[in-house]
This record gives sequence, C-alpha cells and structure tokens, in this order.
Amino acid sequence: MVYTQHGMERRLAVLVAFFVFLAPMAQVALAACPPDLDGDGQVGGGDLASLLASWGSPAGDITGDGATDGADLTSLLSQWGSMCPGKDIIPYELAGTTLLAAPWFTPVDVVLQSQMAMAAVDANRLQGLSGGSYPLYVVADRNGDDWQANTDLHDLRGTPQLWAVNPGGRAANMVEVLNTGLLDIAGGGNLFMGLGVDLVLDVDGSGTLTPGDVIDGMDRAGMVVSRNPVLAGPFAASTLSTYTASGATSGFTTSRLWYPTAIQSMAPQPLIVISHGNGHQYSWYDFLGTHLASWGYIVISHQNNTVPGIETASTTTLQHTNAIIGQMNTVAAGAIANRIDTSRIGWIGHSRGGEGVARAYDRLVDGTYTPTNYGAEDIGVVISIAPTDFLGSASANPHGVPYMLLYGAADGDVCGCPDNDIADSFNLYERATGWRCSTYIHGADHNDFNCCGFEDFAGPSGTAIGRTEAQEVQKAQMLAALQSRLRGDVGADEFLWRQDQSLKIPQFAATTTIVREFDPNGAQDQVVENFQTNTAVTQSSSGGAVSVVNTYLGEGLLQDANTAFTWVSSDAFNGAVRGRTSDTERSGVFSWADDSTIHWELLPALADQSDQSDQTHLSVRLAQGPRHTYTVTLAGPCNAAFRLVDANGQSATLSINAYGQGVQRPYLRTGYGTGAGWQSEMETFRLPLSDFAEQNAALDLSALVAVELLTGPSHGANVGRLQIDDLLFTRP
Amino acid sequence: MMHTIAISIVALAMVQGAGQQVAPPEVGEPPAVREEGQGIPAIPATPAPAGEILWARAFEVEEPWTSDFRADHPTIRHGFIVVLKTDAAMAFPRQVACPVLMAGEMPCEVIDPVAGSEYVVALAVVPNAAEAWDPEPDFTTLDLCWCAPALPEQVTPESAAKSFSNARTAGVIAAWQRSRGVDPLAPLRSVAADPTSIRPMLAAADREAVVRAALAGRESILAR
Repeated sequence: MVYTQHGMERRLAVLVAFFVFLAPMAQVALAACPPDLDGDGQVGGGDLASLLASWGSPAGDITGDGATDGADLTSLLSQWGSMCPGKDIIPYELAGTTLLAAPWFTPVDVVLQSQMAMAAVDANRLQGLSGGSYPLYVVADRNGDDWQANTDLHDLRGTPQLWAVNPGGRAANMVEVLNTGLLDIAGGGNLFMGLGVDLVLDVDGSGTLTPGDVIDGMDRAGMVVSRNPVLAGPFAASTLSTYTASGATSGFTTSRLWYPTAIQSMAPQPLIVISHGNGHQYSWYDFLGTHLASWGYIVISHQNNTVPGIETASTTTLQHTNAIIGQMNTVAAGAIANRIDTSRIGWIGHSRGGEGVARAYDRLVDGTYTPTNYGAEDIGVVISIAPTDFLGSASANPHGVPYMLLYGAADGDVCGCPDNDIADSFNLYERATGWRCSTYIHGADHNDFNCCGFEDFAGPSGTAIGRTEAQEVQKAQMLAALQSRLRGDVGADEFLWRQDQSLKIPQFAATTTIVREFDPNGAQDQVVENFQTNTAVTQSSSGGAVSVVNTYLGEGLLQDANTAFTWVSSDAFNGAVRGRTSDTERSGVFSWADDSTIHWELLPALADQSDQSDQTHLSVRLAQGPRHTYTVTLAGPCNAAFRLVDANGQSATLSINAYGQGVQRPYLRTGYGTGAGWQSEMETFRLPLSDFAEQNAALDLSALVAVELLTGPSHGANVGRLQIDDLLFTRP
Repeated sequence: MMHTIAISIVALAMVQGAGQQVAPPEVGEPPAVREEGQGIPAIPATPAPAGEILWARAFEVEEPWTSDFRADHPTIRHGFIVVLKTDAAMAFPRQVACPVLMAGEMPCEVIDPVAGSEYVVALAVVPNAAEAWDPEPDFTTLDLCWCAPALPEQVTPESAAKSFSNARTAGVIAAWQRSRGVDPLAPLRSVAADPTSIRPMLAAADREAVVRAALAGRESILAR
C-alpha cells in the first residue's frame, strides 16, 4: 500500500481522534495469568514445581475451583511456554510481514518505506493481553543501555496508534504499523539503508517502558524502515572521468572515480574498487559507480589487465586499490582528500576480473603481494560477478572474507557448463568460508551486468529479462552486501535472503525469478547437518542418527560427475557444477514419490544441539535436481516442510512455501544433453523459530530432540528431487 | 594508397608525441546489439591460420619489459606490432579460455581486444632476446597462427612449443607462409619512409609507447 501525503495526513488525523477516544481503555487492568505461579513471566518448569508442591491446597489453583488438582495440571501444561506480562519487560518480535499460508505472519526486521509495515502479537503466548487495547509506539532505535537510561516513549510518527488485542494467535492479531511514511529516514546524514526503530506495546499506558510492556528491539532494532535500494541514495554524486594511477601496470593506469559531492563534509567513507572482465572497459560501470556514490561510497573502476590471465588481473586490482589510497589527497583536485576509510574496502570484479578479485585477496592472505597502503584485514567484502575459475581450489579462493556472487542463469560466456570447470562460477562461492551470499537471476546474461558488453544471452527464447532489470537487481543486491559488511547495516541482510514474495522491491518484475543463498557462517551457528563429516548416511555431521521413511538419502561431493546435464542415475548430483575434483564441498540428495520423512536426531546430551532457545532461525539450502524425472514431472516450485520435535513429544511444522515460492524450478535452459534445466540452484530458507513456537506454544526450544524434513503429497509436492545442505540453527 | 599512408603516419606521430599522462585511447563502445539469440560465437577449431596482416611495424625498446603472456615471464626487447584481419570468432575476447595467437613459440601480446571485431592488434614479441635487433628485423621469419585455447599466463615454453609444433604438423604454418605471397614485407612498407625498406623501425622508450603505437595502428586501419 502506498499512501499519498494527503492520504497519510487524513489517516493520521483519524488515528489521533481514535486514540483520544479510546485511550482510557489502555488503562484496563490486565487479565490474570494464573499458570504463572512463580511469577517469572513465563509458564514453565518452575510453575509445574509450584503446582505439584501445592497439590491439594488452594495455593496452586489455576482453574479457580479452590483446589490444586488434575484440572490445574492440565491447564498449566496446555499453556506451557506461554509468556505472561506484568512482571518484566517482555522482549517479543512484534514487527513482521504477512504470509500467504500458515502461520500467516512471520517476524522480519525490514520493511520498505513505501510498503505496509505489519505487527502481530500472539495473545495465546502473551497471556493477559487479550481483550485489552494498548498504545503501540514506534520509537527511535535504542540498545539495552539506552533503554535503561531513558524509558520515555516518543513516537516518531507524532503519536502512537491504539492496538486492540483479540483472543488468539498472531493470525488474529495483525495490525498495520501506520504512517511509516512519515519517518525521516535520510535525516541526520543517515548512511544506513533504513531507519531502525523499536516497537513498544505500552501495556500500562504509562508512556514509558515499564515492566509488563512488550518491546521489539531491546538490543537491536525491532524494525528497519528501509529506503528502496534500487533507487539513488541520499547523496549527490560527482565523477572524475579519468585519472592516472601511480604504480599500476603500464598500459593499465587509467581509472574512473565517483564520490559523494559533499564528501568533505562527511566522515571518511568506504572505498569500492570495480575490476572489469576480459574485453570489457573500465568505463562500463557508470550506473553502478554513480549508484554507490549516491549511497556514500567512494568508487573507482580501473583498467584491468585480463588478457594474459587472472594473475595479471589481480595485480591491477591490488595496484589500483593501493594507488587511489596513495593519491586521495591529490586526485580530483583534492575532492576526496583524507575521505577514504582505508579499513573498509570492497572489491567488485566481473568475469575474469571476478576471479581476479578473489585471487587478489588470496595473494594478500598468502603474503605473496604486500601493498603499502592496506592489507587483507582492510578488505571487508569481495563481490564476484560471474567469475571464471582458471586457478582452481587453492588460488581462486575467497577464504574467510565476506563474499558475494552475482550470476545470470542465461550467461553465454561463463556458462556454468558441466564440461568446463573454468566456466563454473559457483565453484568460488562454495570455497568461501566466511559470510557469503549469492544472487542467481533467471533470464540474465553475462553482459547484462555492464553497460555495453556483447549480447551473450543463452537462455530459452522469451525469458531474457534485459539489462535494465538485471542492473536493478544488481544495484540492490550489491548495495545490500556492501552495507551489511562495510557499514554493519542491520537492515541489509534481509535483502540478501528473503524471497521476493516476502520483501518485494517494486522495480523487480513479478515474472523475474531471483534465487538467493545466504550463509553468515556465524560462530554461533549450530550445524545439524552439512555432510562434511560423518559421511555415513545414517549419521549427521553433528553426530546424531539420521533415518528416513519412504526415501533414500544420498551423500557425496557437490559436483556434477560427468560432462552433460542429462539425468542419469549414476550422477546423483547432476547439475551441481559447484566444484572441481580438488574441492571438498559435500551435500545430500534425495527424492520421493510418496509422503516421506528425513529425521535428524539432535543429541540431548549436547546442550548446544538440544537448546536452540537463543537462536532465531532454522536455516537450510535446497535445490531441485535438474532434469531429474521427478523435477520434470513437478514442473514448478517444490514445497517441503520442516518439523521440530522436543523432548516432551511436542512438535511444530512449517512449510517453506509459506515464505515465498518453495524451491525454484531450475531455469529451463537446454543443451549438454537431453531435456531442459541448467545448473543446481541452491536456495536458502530461513524459518523463524518463533513461528514454530507460534504453531505450538508447548514446543520447548530449549529441549529439542529432532529436526525432520517432510515431503510428498501431504506437503505440496507429489514427487520431487532435492539436493540439501547446511541444515543449521542460526541467529543474526 | 598514399592517402592511407599519410593517415597512418600522422596517427603515429600524434600518439608518439603525446605525454606520458595521456590515457590510452578509449576504444569505441562495441555495438550495443541486444537481439536475443545472437550470443557469443562458438570457438573455432584450432590450430588455424592467423589471417591477413594489414599493418605491421618492427619495434625495439630502451627499457625491456617482462611479459605476462607466458608462464616463464620472458624479457622482451623487440618484436613486431601487427594488425590482423582475422576470424572474429577466433579473436573474440571471451572470459573462458580463448585461442592463443602464437608467434612461433611465444604467445602474442594481444592489445585491447574488442568483442565482435575482426581486427586484432598484437605484439609479436621475441622472448628473451639478448639484445636489440641485429642486424635488422627479419619479418619473413614471423610465423603466426591461432593455437589451442588457453590462458596466456598459463602457457609454458613447453606447451607453447607443442602448440606450435601441432600447428606446423597440421599445415597451418605452411599455409600462413603461402598466404604472405611474393611480398611478405608489404605490410611493413605501409608506414615506411623508404618503400624498399622495413625502416623506420619504432624505437620506443618502453612497452607503453609501443602499445600506444599499436593502438594508433589499429585506428589507422579502421579509418581506411
């Protein structure tokens, strides 16, 4: 929903009147929360102990019949895990977005300013809210210390909105967070994509954050109202058409510069270096340089020595980075003097240049190249656009540097072909061991990501998305990756993993398919199964037993084993052109023609496996098996569901297609054998643990015993073939 | 013909007189054709003849350079600038491995390739020559061919020798020599003050000056 300014003003006026009329209702006393016998704000083990200790007496009476008995026990167990306002400030994920299927609402952090922001509350879990109406505040983001120092609630929209909470779960209690269009996102020189805010349900109507209130954003922003990353940022941009880089390889000294026009009034800003591909020109990235400068970055695009090979290309990247830092006080007549933050550098390379930037980082790590003005620790992110893989596992290797891959499915040059390792861009992605993400775009070709390269489209007729569309995706996704890694912008990551149906950017055509992988590789991740160790199919990499019903789970190297894409049973990972024989990334694969289950045991003896109460998401990456009989039969996105089971036998199930479209059908490109379908399109799904809890409030996330993957007719896909990897619990 | 020669000489003079800070000429944007299905041409079979030499000039430099176009990084003191008209598919600057233009057992240093163009400008260099031309360049010894796709920096002296041997065995070198006809020095004379000589040879300060001359040579050809 997009409001006109006039419309917003009218809505605000109505809101204010409504609030004044109903404000006294906010003072209505909270309903009691009988099962919370020990008063800790949540129904749990302490309450059970109190109830049993009070058996037969009135002290543990929940049902109101004056005695503590079996009826009270039943009542308590039915509300197990519920939270009860009134004792403490309650952290709770209020902000979110609607879903097209159960659980109908899911907590998220980011909403585009032009779109509807939603909030929801589960009155089944937040006992006592039901039936009351409370002011919902949108306040400037504060961390825990800030909240302790200042509990005043000041709504950035001018006035809070009133929220009448109904009985029931989130689906019964979804409201639009009104008037986010009134928020001043760009104010104060904000370099983030959006404005972080906290949402507070002021349960006692006191106008301050007090015990019993519900807050989303105690430690980090509860919600980020974001600008559209496709559009120009808040800064005017200037360009220096050419300058000469000192110390660069002869014949490759020319570079172009973009920067915020008002850079001298800003703090030092990150440096972005663009390294073009073979037969390309440094002058082909004006759209990207201008875009990033408008978001506050200093950007150069340099001549790149790609004809001899990758080593020479990496050298020019290293040299030009060194040169612009050394020359920043003189280039462009001093316009960027002392304004490069040399500790925050991002490299973007295209094709051979895309491998070149990975190799450049590898050389810094190896110590075979030592620049004078920066080091490996200053490279904050490396982005490759359709990189080649000439140098292989050891040298075309991003190591642990944050890494992004941007790739078009219709690439006619670095094609992702099964007979040529050099043309397989995902090889580099799989080698990255740090924070990493990829954006794979159906219908985009190799030169859609620059202004003027030769038309190389190699997809099915009628599926080309064209340069404008591809570059809008490119601008948005690259900006998000840079913001995430170079500015610590908490709102950026969601642009890199949420499906388009969940975080829809208006400029992206509804028909454009974008497949995203996102893996923070965080130290706090708890891996259930990544197939790297314990390679027997009956044991997960985390040590638990693995069992299956009505399917067969295979494990192996994530590599296509022959030179064609034709489906043959001897090539279990057909289409997985994601590694050379010297690479070690492994994966699982399975298929089904009936309801089937894969069951991963979590070892209760290991607290880090069974207790996921401090994590936020269950994450997994999945890809349909290209050209497999079942993939062809399914002929569309593939749904599946995950179930969590706890030690009490409680469970909750979520379908992945509630969050978007399920696992995308492979791009129907032909060649390399019979049939249609190209390389494996691994896609990350992150299912909020709070959504599992919403499905079953009794589910104990601190005592999980199993994760199950459910497929088959009962779960939306009669048949299917999936490659699966990196099943883990994670948090931001 | 005289008009063409004049353009070439003027172009060379202009470039050679330029200061060190002048950026290499930007190649015009390739045709921004976006017809779905045009695609990148398939890589032709190799070995194959190099094509027609339209323009050439011997050079030597005061400051030798280390070539990145062969894995052993030979030292380069002299060679020939050549502008070829060839199979555009062969010369297409792909991201994956491209056919390597060889001059004997040394990859040519291809300069600024342009997608879709049938014109190739390259430095046919002599690896590890001990000193400047002695007594003078012998253009008739220059044998060019397109050899198997590879990344030049990964071509070793051994693999280069094998590629060139394969080209000779396949008859590609003999075909090349025949194609030069009765007057192999004609391309050189296009810039010669004395049409009976291959002089003047370009005496350049360094590789950058040679590259500028090479690109100007291509421009002169395109201007014809």
